[in-house]
Amino acid sequence: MTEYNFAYLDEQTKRMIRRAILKGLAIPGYQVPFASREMPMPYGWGTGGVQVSAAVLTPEDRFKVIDQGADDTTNAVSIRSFFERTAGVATTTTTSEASVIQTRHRVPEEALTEDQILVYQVPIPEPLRFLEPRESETRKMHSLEEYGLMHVKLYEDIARHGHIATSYAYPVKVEGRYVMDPSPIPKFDNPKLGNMPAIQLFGAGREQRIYALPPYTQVVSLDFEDHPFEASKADHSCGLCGATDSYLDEVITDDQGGRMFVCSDTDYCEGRRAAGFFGEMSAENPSAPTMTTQRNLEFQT
Amino acid sequence: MHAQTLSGGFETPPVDSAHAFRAVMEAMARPGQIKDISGAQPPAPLSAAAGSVLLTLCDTDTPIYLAGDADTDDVRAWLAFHTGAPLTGPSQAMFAVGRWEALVPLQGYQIGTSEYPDRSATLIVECTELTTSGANLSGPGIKSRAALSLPELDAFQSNRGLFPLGLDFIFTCGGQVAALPRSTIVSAPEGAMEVS
Amino acid sequence: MPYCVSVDAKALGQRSFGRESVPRNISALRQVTSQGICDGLPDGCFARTVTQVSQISSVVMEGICYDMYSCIGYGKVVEMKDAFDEKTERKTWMSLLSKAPAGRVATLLDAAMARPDFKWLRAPEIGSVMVQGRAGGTGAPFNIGEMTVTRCALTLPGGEVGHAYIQGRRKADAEAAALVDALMQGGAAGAVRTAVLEPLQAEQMIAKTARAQKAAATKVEFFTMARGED
Repeated sequence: MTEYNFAYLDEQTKRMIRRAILKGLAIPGYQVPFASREMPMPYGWGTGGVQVSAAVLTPEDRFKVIDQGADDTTNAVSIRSFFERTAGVATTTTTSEASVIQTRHRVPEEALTEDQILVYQVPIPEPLRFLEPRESETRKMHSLEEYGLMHVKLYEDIARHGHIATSYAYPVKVEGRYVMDPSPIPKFDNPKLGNMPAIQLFGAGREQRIYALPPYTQVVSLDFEDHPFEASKADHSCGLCGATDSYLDEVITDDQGGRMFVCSDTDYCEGRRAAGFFGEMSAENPSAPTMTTQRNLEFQT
Repeated sequence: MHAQTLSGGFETPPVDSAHAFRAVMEAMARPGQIKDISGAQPPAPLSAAAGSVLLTLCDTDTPIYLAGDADTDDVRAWLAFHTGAPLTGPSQAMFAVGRWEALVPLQGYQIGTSEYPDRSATLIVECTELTTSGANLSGPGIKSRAALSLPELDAFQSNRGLFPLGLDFIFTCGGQVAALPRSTIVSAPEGAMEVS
Repeated sequence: MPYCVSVDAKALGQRSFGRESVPRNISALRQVTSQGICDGLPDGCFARTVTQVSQISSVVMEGICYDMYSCIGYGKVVEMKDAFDEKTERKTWMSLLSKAPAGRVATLLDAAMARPDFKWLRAPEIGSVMVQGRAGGTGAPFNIGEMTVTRCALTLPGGEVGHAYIQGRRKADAEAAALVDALMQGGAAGAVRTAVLEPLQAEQMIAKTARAQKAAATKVEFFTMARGED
């Protein structure tokens, strides 16, 4: 693919993105505006993440892409092959082998290391956007550290539902300063953001924002003293690997109400099964019901 | 003619700049860590590290301030050919290069605005040595503690006081780079107990 | 407009844009002006242009976009004047090389001599520049559109530095053009001139004449008392 520059983007665009990444790292949680380019994929498919990955990748990197934890969904497969072709980088589905991981809406179950970089695809980077649609106003709110509205929103959740009902894209406060949208990861993943050894970069292509969390940054999910933040997941174990500590997808298996819960992180699930663990619906399980369950790849929560 | 100022750029720009950027990004994300950086051979007195940082981050969109003895005809010509970056004074610069004595005072540089704190200058400080001993560092990017040989303390402490506004610093020495973002809290070294 | 490549529409095949509705004819204009890009680059004044690569250009090629003042007279950017400077010799051959058809310079050069060793100062890279024109060759310049440009710089063992800025996305041609530029500054200048530049110039003259004749054949003279020039 000699017609493409390394990692697709031209050098001037990469320099612009790289400057934004550095400013983002220097001001953790602050959304740095950048001149997002059109990419050969629709908005909402990870154009921001792809641009950040392109600016970060070196030829020696090993690249992994996950979409809601899965390595095998359309989005993950196409972004992975995109960089295989335009950057010639090696790819992997194994979390521990990857040096750069682009993710849509999950943080891998396996703890990341200092040698890894996690790139998030972000649809709406502004945590206050649904409370205040005007960019000029939200920008002012960030500059004045005026986050009362967000607490009112969480309080209204409690008043209406008895608990904070926000279950994904749960807002966090970074280093006691900026309120940040962690991208639509389940709140189960929120505790992993803080004190992570890896660098975390967030790219929002359509909204033209880049933000970042340096390693070992203090990240606190917003809550109240009497309603503390709680990382939640489905109260089941994985039907395939039996894991009780991983985030689960609910998969409908037939028209009669049959369902199963499986790890959303496919690599984690496969690793456990390879290590000999199995769940109650796995084929290896002698007491499993005689039903062949195939995970529906199109399934999105 | 001019061949010496036209040479010394990246051999393969996309790959060299990717490597150089990773070094700068790792340095900026982990204050106090020193990374190797290479690729550019700028004219004296610029170090290879400073040259590589400039080639990686600067282009026609980024006004550069050449401070003190960094401002030579050769450096100007080299930057013009390889980056095309306009040269300017401290108040307009997005990047400034030079020795610490030439870069101070820091009041002249852009520190961003409260609504756009990213619109601030990045100072590339040329150092005679760069070691992981000296001032104590803490803050984002630092697990428990880190140290870096900083030219002074006061300037960095008052810069931290401006957070989220402020300047970001990249320290270069030979083929090495370290960084100090505005978020880092700088304190005096703890005397003889300091282990580097 | 000190920072733009200025192209005099009149110099590009005597076509007048004076009465034409420009926006409707952008594609045609692009074609015309792209032939003349080097006419607009006075010596020592390779103008700064364009900071944004069009999306297409970054897809299909190494879309690297640069200011052009660093080409030859880097470091001494001067303001573009209203009128063209007197053409210097080097400017003439740079213009010829930039407009040469694909592969032509390389063919002529290889037929004349073995290529000398050289070292890249800047490997060939592709970007785009904003081309400006003046309606009717006078008046205020306006942006006609972007065109792709390939540029490179190299140095010969003797120290001569050759530059190339050529139209299109042709890295091999840029290399050949830069070699010719470098050779023209050394001892082989005479040989290169007869083997490469003179044939190129002759071909371009023929093409230009043929085009002018074709255009002239379509000229209509109306037998009216007044032709609207009152």
